[in-house]
Amino acid sequence: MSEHDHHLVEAQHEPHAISFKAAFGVTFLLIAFTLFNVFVSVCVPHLLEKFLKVHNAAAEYSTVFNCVIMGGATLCGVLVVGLFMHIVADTPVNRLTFISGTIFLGFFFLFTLSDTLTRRTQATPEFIKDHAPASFRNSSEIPGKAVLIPAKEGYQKNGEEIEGHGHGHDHDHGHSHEGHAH
Amino acid sequence: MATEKQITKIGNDFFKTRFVAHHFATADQEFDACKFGMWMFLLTEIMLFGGLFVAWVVYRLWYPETFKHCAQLMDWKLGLVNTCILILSSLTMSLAIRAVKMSDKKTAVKMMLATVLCGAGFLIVKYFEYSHKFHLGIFPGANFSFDGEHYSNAHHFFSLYFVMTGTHVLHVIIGMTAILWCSYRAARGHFYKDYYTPVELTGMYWHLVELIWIFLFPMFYLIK
Repeated sequence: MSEHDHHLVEAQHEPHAISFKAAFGVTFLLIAFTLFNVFVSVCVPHLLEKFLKVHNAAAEYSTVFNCVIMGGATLCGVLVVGLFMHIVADTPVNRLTFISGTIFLGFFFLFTLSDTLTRRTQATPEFIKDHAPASFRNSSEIPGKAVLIPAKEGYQKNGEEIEGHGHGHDHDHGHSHEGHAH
Repeated sequence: MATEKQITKIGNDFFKTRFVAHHFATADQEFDACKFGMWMFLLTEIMLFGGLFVAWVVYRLWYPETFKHCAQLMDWKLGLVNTCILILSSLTMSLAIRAVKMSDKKTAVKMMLATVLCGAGFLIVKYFEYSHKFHLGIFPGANFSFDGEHYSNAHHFFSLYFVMTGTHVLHVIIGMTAILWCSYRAARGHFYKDYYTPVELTGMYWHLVELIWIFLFPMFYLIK
């Protein structure tokens, strides 16, 4: 007698199989959105510059492009979770689990950005000296604009330090007031 | 030795009959419990990558020009190829799950192996990408160097790139291993219309791997 005889056989379980139409349709949409994102990122700035004579369109409208691209990626994500991961036909508790997790991830973003975006980004060493807590006043690193740096300044090459620069990049770039406030 | 009662015949194929574990009342209850557990695990994965995404957003806000410049050093064509490979792999995985639910053993195994092949293709493309970066001297962490003009704090961008894509690559390898295990068991007739939980859960994991890449691709290659 089998040790499993007293258990139920896995019967009467109705599988929800994705249809061919849905599977290939989602794949088509995912590839279409991906190509659209590439088009927005790579081609649209050039087209704007060429036909509408917009100067430096990539930088001028970067926020718009970035929002459109992340919107496209989000739509792809919705398709994957909804249809490939089959959450539209899943149990309510599973749907709630995923949605609540996404909401908490949103809180994570919100709390972090509420700190980052409200910082004084144009702080000067003088401002830090006058206003920052005592333990922070010697900090030389504050957020600021990145600067173009030739590689020969301050990087290791073939394991040897160049012209007496140290290992740390923050130290190397301290003169440009890069880095974040501590 | 399997008794007649432990063998299920569907069409021309034979499957090992699955019995509900003793602590579940029904097959549906067992399936739902397993799937709920998988969703909880996937949430921890989302939180893991969520932390990395937040780090990327913060550094992107702090050093926008550095990130724009570094994104231009990335080869979007290779990123696009990898995205298409992973989308294709998600399709084959979905078809594998569909085949298992239809008790179509041969198609299920073929589709799962096709998914593993796609995963291998992704890793090969990633190998060439990483090799090119290392050739230029772009390493993660303290060993970062770049023999050319670059923006200050570029090491932040590339450290995030290596950590996030490296963690993703690790997930791809784990997913491929799990799919190989499922295909082996499927070939032995362990999965059929009444029992396919491991294949379903592995498929969910693989789709999550694709989901994460769907966001990594624009973050590192397209947003400028």
